Amino acid sequence: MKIKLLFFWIAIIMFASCEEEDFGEVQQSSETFLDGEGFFIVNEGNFSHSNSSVSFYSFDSSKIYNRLFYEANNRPLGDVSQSMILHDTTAFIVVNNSSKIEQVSLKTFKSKATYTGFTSPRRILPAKGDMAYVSDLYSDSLTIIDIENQTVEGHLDIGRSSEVMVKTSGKVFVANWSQLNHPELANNKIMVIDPAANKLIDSIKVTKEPNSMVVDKRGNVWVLCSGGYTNEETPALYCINAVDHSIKERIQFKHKELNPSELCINNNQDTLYYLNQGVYRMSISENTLSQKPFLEEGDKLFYALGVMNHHIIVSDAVDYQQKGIVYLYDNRKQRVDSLRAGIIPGFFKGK
Amino acid sequence: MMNRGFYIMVLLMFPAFSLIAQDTIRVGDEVTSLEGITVKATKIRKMSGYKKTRIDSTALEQYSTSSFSELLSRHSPMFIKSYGQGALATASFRGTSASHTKVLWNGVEISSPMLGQTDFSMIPVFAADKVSLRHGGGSISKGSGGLGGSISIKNEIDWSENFRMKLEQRFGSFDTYKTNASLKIGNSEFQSRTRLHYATSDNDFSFKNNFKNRNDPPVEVRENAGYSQTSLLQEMYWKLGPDDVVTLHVWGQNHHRNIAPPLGVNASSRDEEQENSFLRSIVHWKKQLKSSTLSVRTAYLYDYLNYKNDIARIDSDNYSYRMVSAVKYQKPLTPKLTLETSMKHQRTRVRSNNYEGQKQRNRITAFAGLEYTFSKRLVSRLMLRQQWIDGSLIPVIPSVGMDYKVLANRDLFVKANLSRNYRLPTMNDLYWSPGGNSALEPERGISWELGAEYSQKITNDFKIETEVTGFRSAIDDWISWSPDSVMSYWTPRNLKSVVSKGVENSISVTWQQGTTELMTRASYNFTRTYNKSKAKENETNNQLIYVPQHTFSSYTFLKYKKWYADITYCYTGKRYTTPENDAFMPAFSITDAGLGYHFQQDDFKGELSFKVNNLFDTDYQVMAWHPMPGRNYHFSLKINLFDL
Repeated sequence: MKIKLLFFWIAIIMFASCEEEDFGEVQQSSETFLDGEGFFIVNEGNFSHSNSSVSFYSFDSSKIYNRLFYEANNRPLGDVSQSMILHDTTAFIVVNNSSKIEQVSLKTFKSKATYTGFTSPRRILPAKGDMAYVSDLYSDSLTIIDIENQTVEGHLDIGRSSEVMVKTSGKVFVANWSQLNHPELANNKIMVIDPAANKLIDSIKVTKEPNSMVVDKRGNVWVLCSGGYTNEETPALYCINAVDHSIKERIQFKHKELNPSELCINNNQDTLYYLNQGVYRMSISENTLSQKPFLEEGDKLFYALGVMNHHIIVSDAVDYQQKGIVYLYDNRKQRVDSLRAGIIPGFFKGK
Repeated sequence: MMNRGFYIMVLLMFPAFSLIAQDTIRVGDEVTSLEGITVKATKIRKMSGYKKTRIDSTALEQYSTSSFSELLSRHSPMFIKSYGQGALATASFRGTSASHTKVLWNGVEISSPMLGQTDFSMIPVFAADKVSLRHGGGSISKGSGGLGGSISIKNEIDWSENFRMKLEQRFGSFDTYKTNASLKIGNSEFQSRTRLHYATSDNDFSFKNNFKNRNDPPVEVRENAGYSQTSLLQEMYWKLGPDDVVTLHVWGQNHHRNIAPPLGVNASSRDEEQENSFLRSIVHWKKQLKSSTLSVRTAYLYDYLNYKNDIARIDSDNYSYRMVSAVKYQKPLTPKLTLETSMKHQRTRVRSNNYEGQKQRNRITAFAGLEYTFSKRLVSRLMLRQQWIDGSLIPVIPSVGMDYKVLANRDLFVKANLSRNYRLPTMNDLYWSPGGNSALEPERGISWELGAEYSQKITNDFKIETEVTGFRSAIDDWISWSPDSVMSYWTPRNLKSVVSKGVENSISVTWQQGTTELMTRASYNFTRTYNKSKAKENETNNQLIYVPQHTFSSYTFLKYKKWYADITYCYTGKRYTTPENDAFMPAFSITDAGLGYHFQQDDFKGELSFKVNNLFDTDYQVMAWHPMPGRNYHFSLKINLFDL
């Protein structure tokens, strides 16, 4: 009897153990749709959870399509995606904590190349011909990649950590946002690079923590500085002459505790937008900051901002665990749509 | 008679299996459909109304060279969040979080004061003689804050032996070597035991990398996951009188671990490691007075943690120092009424390069417990706990429970309890810089449970014990970290309200005939945990992430003459990984099997054993992107020398 009992028990165990199953995270499948006009949303995901993703919002269908990369490639995008650019028929997605850049086809979102060899990549900027620079949080160098041959070509030492990059007047402007690499240096510089010579040619001192940068229609560089991690300085907005690197304007915010971020510019490159507990806007011809927000934050917590065509896009990361919300407003401040994207929607790119 | 036993067993086990098969069951149905399952012991019940599980000595013996994370994941109803073999492993009760699990060593809390959690892969089973779990409200008898429950690790000495030496060496896959040595000497007045545990592992197991390809994952070798541990435990016991004992415990340990990144995080750009050291000492004096018991305890705990990440330029040193003094007095006031009172003072000091200066906290606790025996069949217990934190009062923690023996001549007990509990914010919650929020309120919990235990001797050598417990707990002001309003850094706030409810079942059967022994036990747990606060539209009633609704485990131990064999089977149901419950980790089952042989000659006893872990080579991850090893082996030799 007891022997039977034992066999019965073992049989159950064997039976239960013999199922062949999936063992990794399983995500709900979603449709992929990339046609027509719209914008991409780069969702950062949680640090070390490899749950970042890319969504697409279509203006034609007013629908959002999530997890594009996972659907197209049958593998997750990676850990903490930071930014995205479009180049010809492809897109480059910088996946920070996976230390890689995925180049995908814009038509299918299938990966065409994976660039590795970075330390902590943040942004990518095509600088000249097939050459692109990749900024890096934990490295003193920009990584140079060849996007035609899909290879890493080398490095350009700029002596400090790099973040946002813009190109104007044939030069590349690189913001030094973080102080981590060099606690002894103040993180308050915009490094100027001549991509033709592949050389660092100048640096411009601004306020601490330049976190975002845009180029206006006159070719000037606008830099938004938050003043430092522990509010060491008063935040400020700079307008820099890209030709002689002089500071044309320096507009200070009211007090140190503010943390303005996400400087954007519209398609006509004449109106600036930024976050400062609400969406603010300012014409490039003005030289004072608006005291009243263009869009009130209310009980939301605005995380990322994007401006394209006639729309202002702003995200709320909610509790940083559930899917973040993307709000779409038109020029008359009317909310057009609100949608759930991925976890921590942190970057927008118009298509 | 035998047939009846078999019938009962199958009948009792059946609901558990059928529940695993179906995945969508409502909680309401659960409680009713699982009625009649029951349990444990006939011993005098000291835990009126509260659930207490003991990890049996067979399991402790089998896991003597392992860590607590391995032991608990196989032999307790707790869910172990394991970030890979040898890596961080936390444990949680009944759908609560890891910081709701209190860990006590000889009555002194050892969870990290900074994190409020315990890493169970750093506690060697070798350091424990007795392990018991108090579920839910039962933890209040040992301290506040165990909103999920508490784990108590104890050391005990056998006064009858004068000499015993134990040596154990284990060799395992992935270059894993573990050594235990212990020496016990003494007499009826003084006893000393010294234990040494050394473990080292390259931990370079192969796994399938599903990050690179989901359908056809390439096989890779885990790198930078090795660890080493040295642990020394000294105990001394002096018997001053027949019931008058002074005890000294000193435990020092160093643990070094390389941290392998989760899949998806570039390994070559990370070089993370962690070093933990601690020194814990307790002096305990227990004296039986005329009719009462007095116990005085004082403890000093030092903890050091260093976390290093070269790429991110983090080299973080964290020190904490704790001083605990406690007096406990127990006295039967009348034959039916017993009083237990205690006072405790705990001073915690933390020094960290992540805090602005040194931070400290003083905690004074007064406790009173009354146990009243209404009749031979009904016992109840009332407990009150009052705390002062740095001079300010926290509301009183009351708890009431009762045990009722339903039938006069059968071991069928019904137990129930209702309790309140508070968990203080951790030192990191309060003082981490930047972000720490010194205005945090303690988390508040209220919970009840109702259970039944039944044990029956079918024949003299065939015994069945079974238990079923239903519980519900609600935790308000649950502390959770999120960015502050200007997005400069993360800060903790009293945000969520979480409800957790479920059922725990267990059954064990023991049978013995001559030199043959069979013991089998199984447990099934159902846990439903959700956030009921309606913060920002969305997600309520969804299962919290990484709380499996279904878990099942069984352990079968068969002894025949000098041989023994054991099989452990564990099933962990699917765990959602998103608050929306639209992504999940699939369920997995792991089977371990072992075979051993005992030999003895006069004052010499030995044991050879061989064990296969993950017998069916199941690919699995407990936490997403943290691979676990496939089939692996270990071989061990134990030698016992003693005075007869």
